[in-house]
Order: sequence, then C-alpha cells, then structure tokens
Amino acid sequence: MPISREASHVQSESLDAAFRRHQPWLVGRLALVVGDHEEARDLAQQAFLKAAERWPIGGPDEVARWLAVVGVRLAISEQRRRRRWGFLAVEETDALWALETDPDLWRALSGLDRKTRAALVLTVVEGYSQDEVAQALGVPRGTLASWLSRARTKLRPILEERA
Amino acid sequence: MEELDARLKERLLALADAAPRVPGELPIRESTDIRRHAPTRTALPVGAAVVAVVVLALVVMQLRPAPVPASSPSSPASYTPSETPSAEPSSTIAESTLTPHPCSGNGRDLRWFVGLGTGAQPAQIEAEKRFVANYNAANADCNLLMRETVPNANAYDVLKTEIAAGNAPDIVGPVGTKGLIGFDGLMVDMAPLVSAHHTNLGDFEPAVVDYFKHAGEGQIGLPYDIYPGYLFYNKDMFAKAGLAPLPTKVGDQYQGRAWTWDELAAIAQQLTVDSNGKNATQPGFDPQRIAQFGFDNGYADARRFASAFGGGSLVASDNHTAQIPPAWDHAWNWYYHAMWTSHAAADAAFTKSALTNGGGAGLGTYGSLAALGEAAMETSWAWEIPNYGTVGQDGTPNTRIKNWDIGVLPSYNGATSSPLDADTFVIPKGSKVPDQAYEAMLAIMADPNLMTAFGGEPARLSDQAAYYAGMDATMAPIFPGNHVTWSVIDEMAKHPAVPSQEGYLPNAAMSQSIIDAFFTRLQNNSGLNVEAEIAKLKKDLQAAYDGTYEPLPLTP
Repeated sequence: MPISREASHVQSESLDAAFRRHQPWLVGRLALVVGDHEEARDLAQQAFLKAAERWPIGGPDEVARWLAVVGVRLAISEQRRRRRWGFLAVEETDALWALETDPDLWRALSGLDRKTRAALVLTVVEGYSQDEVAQALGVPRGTLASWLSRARTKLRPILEERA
Repeated sequence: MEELDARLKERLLALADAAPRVPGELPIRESTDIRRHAPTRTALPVGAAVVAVVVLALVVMQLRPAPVPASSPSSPASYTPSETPSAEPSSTIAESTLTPHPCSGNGRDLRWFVGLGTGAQPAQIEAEKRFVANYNAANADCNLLMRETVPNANAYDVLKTEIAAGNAPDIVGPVGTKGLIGFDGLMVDMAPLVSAHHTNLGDFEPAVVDYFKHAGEGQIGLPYDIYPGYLFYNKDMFAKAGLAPLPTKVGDQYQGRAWTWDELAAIAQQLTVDSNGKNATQPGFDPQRIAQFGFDNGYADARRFASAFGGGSLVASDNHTAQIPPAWDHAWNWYYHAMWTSHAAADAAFTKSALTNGGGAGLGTYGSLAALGEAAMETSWAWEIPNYGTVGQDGTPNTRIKNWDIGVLPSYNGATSSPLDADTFVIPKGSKVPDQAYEAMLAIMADPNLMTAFGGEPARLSDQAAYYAGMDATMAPIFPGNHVTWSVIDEMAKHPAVPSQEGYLPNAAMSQSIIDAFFTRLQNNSGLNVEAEIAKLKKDLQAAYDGTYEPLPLTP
C-alpha cells in the first residue's frame, strides 16, 4: 500500500493509546536517523502533534506508517533548518548508547547523511518499497536508489565482517 | 542483497532498541497567553494532554478569545525593552529608528505567530515570553499581545489553515523569503502604515528595504536581520601565494584589474596547490594530488551559487514556464570549468575526502573546506561566520586557520550580485487590527533581547557597529591579531540578488530534487557537455512544473 494513501478510519484507537503504542519505537527509529535520542524524542513529539491535528488516522498499521514517514520528513526538515541558521549539529557520532551497542555499525552510519539514513530506516527496517519511500521523501526513485546503493557499499564490509 | 539487508535490519533494530527510553508526553502547542492571567501551563499527564491538544486546536482554529479588559495601568505608558537578557548578548544594540509610538489600543487582542522561520528554540521561546509579558505590562491599556509558537515543520500548514479559516494572526515572523512562499497576496502592504506612523526607514540600506517590496504586493515587510553573501578568504594562503587582499568595496579593482569572476578564477588557480607545493598554473602540477583548493562554493546549491552572478529564477513570470537565466548558464559553466579544467575549484571527490580526514574530524566537523584550512576562498553568508571560529557544538576553537578576512563578491557583466538571506515580519491581510499589529511589530523589531535570541545580524545600520564589535570580541581570543573587515557585509547588502535564490518553484520538492541532481552531477563528473546538462535541467523542470516528470528507472 502506498505510504501516502489516505488511511481508513475504521478501527482507529485513541490518540492516547496510539501514543503509548507507537512513541517508543518511533523515538528509536528517529534516533537512527538523527543520531541523538533527545532530538529524536522532540521529533517524535512533533510527529504526534501533527497526528493530533489529523486524528483519527486509521488502524495501528496506518498510524505506524504515517508516523514513520512524517517523523523522518521532520528529521530531514530539521537538519535543513539548522543548517540554514548555522547551528547544525555536524558531529553526530557522539551517541554513547549507539557506540556501546554496535560501534562499527554506528560509525559507518555516521558517515552517511541524514537523508540516506532515513531512506535506510524506511526501506530496510520498515520494509517500504523504493517507490513508496521516494514518493514519501519527494525524490526521484533513481536518486533514492543511488543513496541506498552508496549506503550498502559503505556498510557491506561491516556487515560481512561479523557474518 | 537480501541477506545483507536482513543482517542490516537486525543490527539497526538492535541499535534503535538501545536508544534511551525517556517517557514521553503528548506535545502541547505553545499558546500559553490565551488569557492575561491564565496560570502557566505545565506538563500534563498523557490523557489530559490529549484533551488539551484537542481543545487548543479548537481554540486556535475556530474560536477567538474574548477581548480582555485592560488592567490598571500601573506600568509605564510606552513600551520598555526587557532588562533581563534572554541569552548571553554578544553586543549591545541601541534603540533607534523603530522605537514604537505609544499604542492606540482598542481592546482587541494581537496574535503573534512564531515558527515559520526561526523562533521555536527553547531559549528563543523564553525571550519571546519575556518580551510579551513586558509588552503587555507596559501597554496595559492597549492590545494584549499573545505569542503562538508552532514547530517549524508544522508552521506552514497551521498558518495556511488559520488564514483560510478567517482566523489569521496579526503578526508573523521572523520569516525569510522561503518561509513566505505560498503566502503571495495574503500579506498587508506596509507602505501606508510606514507613512501613517512616520517610521524612519533611513536607518536601513534602501536596497534591503526594496528587497521586501514585492511586485503586485507592495512593501510586505521591513528588514529585520540580514545575511548577505560575500567571499571568505584565508589571508595566510594569499600571502604565501604573493596575492593582495581581496577588494572590500564594490567597484574597487584587484591588483590593477577589474574584480570579476574571471579574475577570481585566475587567482584561485594560483591558490590551488598540490602535495609537492606546485600551484595549478605551474608545469608539473599534479591534479590528482591536490592539497589545497583556491575556491570552494561553500554551502551554495545551484540557485544560490548562480545568484552570485546575477539574480534570477528558473520559472518565468507566468509561474509555469521553465527558464534558465543567461547569468546562471554562465555561472554553472564557470564553476564546471573551474572544477574540471583549471582546477581552481574543489570538486565533489575532494570534498568527500575532506569529510573523513583528520580521523573523522574533517569537513563534517568544521563545516566548510575554508574553515578546515583546505580552501583559500569560499562563497559564504553572514550566518556562517560563527562557524569559522569554533568547531562542533562544544565551542572548541578552530585551530586550522589563523588569519582570515572577507571580501566582496566579484562582478559579472559589470554588476555585482549578493545572494541575500534576510528575515522580516509580516501582517496578514486577515488581521483585524493592522495598525495595532504594526505598532507591536515595531516593538518586537526594536527589542535587543529578541534580536540576540534570534541570533541575527541586525538590518538596522545603527545597530551593526555594536554587532560587529560583539563578533570581534568573540573572535579575538580565537584568532589573536586578526582583523575582519565587517564593512564588506554592509557593502554586499547594497547589492542583493533579486529575485531571491530561494524563490518560488512549481512542484517545489520535485523541482528542487531535479536541481540538486543537476548540480551534483556537475560536481561529480568530468567530461560533461554542460550546455546539454543545462538543457536537460530545463526540460526536466518543465516536466516537473507540468506534473509529468518521470524519475529515472531504478538502477540495478
């Protein structure tokens, strides 16, 4: 199902329940994209604020899709805005929680830009097709494919090393 | 690839699960000043927060709070800026031109919408709250000013909806050109207000005032802060190459010749040096082992860089037909030649290698090749200046460069053009109290603490000396003995690129993606036919404008 498709309102749950269900994983996914769990938490809250303005969005699956896409879009917008105002957090490799968990993978991820990490999260982790993610992020599919290709090239040695 | 992706997914999920779990609360939109005496809102339990979000949404979208009776005027009759700075001020900015007149309240409330540009950071919100409290205390017989801060990512949708619903705020800002896209024709022409309130515009650079004069809309705002484009250059590299400092005034010559982009290319070639110490004009120069480039385009994307050759737009005045301004065609050809033929400018490969040098503390930390000490010149903007002094977020002094200065951008076809970022405040036409909104807007613009919190370079000429003194004080311990010619920024502000490099594009996200792909291709590939690439850009943009653009098929 395309990410942008209007979700059914059938079987929607309360915003409160949806928040409890989705907030933890959303923060984790966004932390992969932005490298900072505090910023990830802020972005997740922004995503829920947007959700509150549109509620109900649909069942849990639709809500999860909607939050994942809106969250990574917000993450990318936030980076553009920070760069514009000159306070971009350019060093995104100081996340101790990530370095303690999987230092090799995290260092490699830190060498990718935020858009590419967002593309990885949406395709590899969330399982969306490249067409869907390209549409969601507003880029040509070829561009997205090149991001992912470069990312896989960069990550391959680390993934094969431990296999 | 599936096996690789499965492993990657597993490890990414493990990483995501390791992110600290801080209990969250549903966010509440900042709109705390709905009633003058309302208690300060604190964090609510999740369930209550849900209700609060819904109620606030209803309030903001549909209901307008009843006028609040004026309280007893125990405070001064005119506005006095807060005496408590919201953040450590870098300078003292004097009150001057925009000091507001005593307000002419009529009991209506004023809503100040923040978030379309900057203004939603915690320290900024604190400064805004303090300003609003002081303003209302000092103008107790006037209009109640309410601050409404919306996260930047949501601000466009929220403001658009409020205006469409007939619930427009009264003041919006600070906001730049990009933030105002989509609001054409919806903002008040301030020219009559400027005249009626006898606002002295003499303290602004006229070209920057005109920057906010939009065709068919009039004077939609007054300049608040400005970030002109200029050239950063490394004085030590220039001295080593035997080159004179760059011109600091538009029209000045450089080493006896007109200061043009061709002249810049010529000296940039002398400043590009290989690992053997040979520059790009010398026999034996090795373009495969370049250690220092003469020029880098800094953060500029295709439109921003080309605007340094002349203001323009990739869409015609009918807002539909794709076009390539001749100056931009020339700019992109100049840049491509500088990267791949004369080696005067850094290409993408060099930039990428700089990303990882120094044990990972390379370009990603320093922010630009010039700050890293690997480019002698770069196009830069006033918002970039603090980044030359410090590294990363912790304020570590930059030790990679020592003596540097700024110079004016070169001319093309006899004209100098500075891509300008600038912010303003606007008053939506839907405001029911435009006169009072204008008065409050002047007070906002005159507040030194807000200016400090927003971090901008003041557009008021009388404030700039103090601002630069603050910059000098910040830079002096990092670059002892270095003198920066700040007047260059004022000089550049006299020559803004018009229209803005951030102007309207149909199908904006897709169009920008096409433009970025075009520029990336130039930066990554030698041997291209640049004119053919530009023709393709125009064709692709027209397709995007028409809604018929088909992205390239997926590369296997």
